[in-house]
Amino acid sequence: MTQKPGYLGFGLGLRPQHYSEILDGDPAVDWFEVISENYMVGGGQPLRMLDRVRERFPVVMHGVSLSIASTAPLDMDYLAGLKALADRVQPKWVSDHLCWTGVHGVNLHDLLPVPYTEEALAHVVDRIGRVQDYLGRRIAIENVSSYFEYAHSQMSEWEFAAELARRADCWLLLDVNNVFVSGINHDFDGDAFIDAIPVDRVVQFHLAGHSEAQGHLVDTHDQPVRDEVFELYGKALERFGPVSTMIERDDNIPPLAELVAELDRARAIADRVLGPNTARIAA
Amino acid sequence: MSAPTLAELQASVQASVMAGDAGAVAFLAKPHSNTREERLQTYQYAYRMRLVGVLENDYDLLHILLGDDQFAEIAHAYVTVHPSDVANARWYGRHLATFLRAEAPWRDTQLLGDFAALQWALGEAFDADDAPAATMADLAAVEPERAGELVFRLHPAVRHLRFRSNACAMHTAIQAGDAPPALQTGQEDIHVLVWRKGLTAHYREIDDEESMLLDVAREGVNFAVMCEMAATMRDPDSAAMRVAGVISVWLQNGVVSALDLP
Repeated sequence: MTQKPGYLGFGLGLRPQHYSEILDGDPAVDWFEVISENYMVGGGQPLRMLDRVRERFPVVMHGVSLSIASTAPLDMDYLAGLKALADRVQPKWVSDHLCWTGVHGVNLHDLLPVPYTEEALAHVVDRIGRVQDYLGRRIAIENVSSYFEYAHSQMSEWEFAAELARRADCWLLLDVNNVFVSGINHDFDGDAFIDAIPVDRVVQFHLAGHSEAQGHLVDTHDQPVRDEVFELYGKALERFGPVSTMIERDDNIPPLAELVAELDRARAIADRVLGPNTARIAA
Repeated sequence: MSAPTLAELQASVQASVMAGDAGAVAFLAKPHSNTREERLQTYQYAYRMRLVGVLENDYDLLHILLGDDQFAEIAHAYVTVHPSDVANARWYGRHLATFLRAEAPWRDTQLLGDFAALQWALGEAFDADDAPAATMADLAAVEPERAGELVFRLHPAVRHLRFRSNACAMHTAIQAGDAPPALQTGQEDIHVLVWRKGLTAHYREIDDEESMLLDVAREGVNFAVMCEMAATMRDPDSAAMRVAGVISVWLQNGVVSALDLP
């Protein structure tokens, strides 16, 4: 396994609502994650803004359309666009989700869960290998929030993810909120999930807010990170040490300062768990 | 029940998510809270609302023009007719103008298709490929005796639309937060030029001569032939002056990306 990408500190998702605050100010944000698809366009303002952010901050690319677990053929047009963007942005890493988004020429634009079976594991491992070969880089795969489980699953989600990382030789993006949400929805202990994930594979943490539906939780990214998720984040830090951490906010987006304040809460937790300034990036 | 293959499972779940039926529940584990149907409904609801949200984002001014209820009716109908076949949701709403011009009852209101076409074209212009903008200085550098051979390469953001309504005036008013003007429709084409200057997309109505010039410029017709064609539409003696005037405005607005000489 090649060396893990370097630690980036505390980041945010880059959203157009914050372009001017970021570019005209000096926000206390160490790096930005961009939604790959938002910048897989010809040109104009999106790519111009991304170029300017890239001049000042490390950037990672996070996709929602790879559909790595789909039984549909890999979308080579999509991969070509992803590779072209990566060549331009030179991100620290590229990530997407452990999910499928559609089959038979349809895209549901949602992150559907995978059955935790040997068949699915072999299928996803093969596809990650082909994607990594095409992109010429190791990718990071993120655990998703899920609202149902399949009756025929043969292992737990964390067993599946850990084995996936080992066999596919990929990185993992551990979404702490998704562990929490799926834990509530499927009645498992988030600590058990975290304890099963190999330390040397995790390159990034996601934090995000979720909503309560009737009888279960939904990963909505439209409100602040919940206390319980920050608590689980502390436990993740205890196991994994300093890992590049960012907050995702995709709806009901507040001023940048509010997100930076949330990020400061993550910094304070890292200080408490890892020791003062252990997880800080030098200004 | 034997275990389904991964392909069978995905086909079944996708069909249930799109149709809103319970066909896939046999493949789902019984949750500790809720029913399997309720858990599946989370995806069914999200599927529809996510695509409606994409349309709301791409057609925000049409949404304002129509209000929540009418826009939602259109958006849900579009989602039913047009499952997404694109990896990037950026392109999901590309058929809306065609849909509104073809489907009852919306096809009876010409404005709707025109307005959607304008919003989509502006979105396309916003993130179209980058290209340099040719300038008046580039034009001045061309030897006068070769001016007739000039071909004007259009910027990738340029679009030429044809309306039968005052969609442009409606769009301008709504964008400014003003009350929209009275609806006007007719049988004659109203030509509209969409372009990008710097990072901002623009539009304006153009006359039939500029419309013709735009079309032939895109086909690679040179300045001399453009003038001959303009001479067939208006006063022949002033044709060259008129074409030069149009080209000058194009150059000042970033409509032309390069001046080519054979």
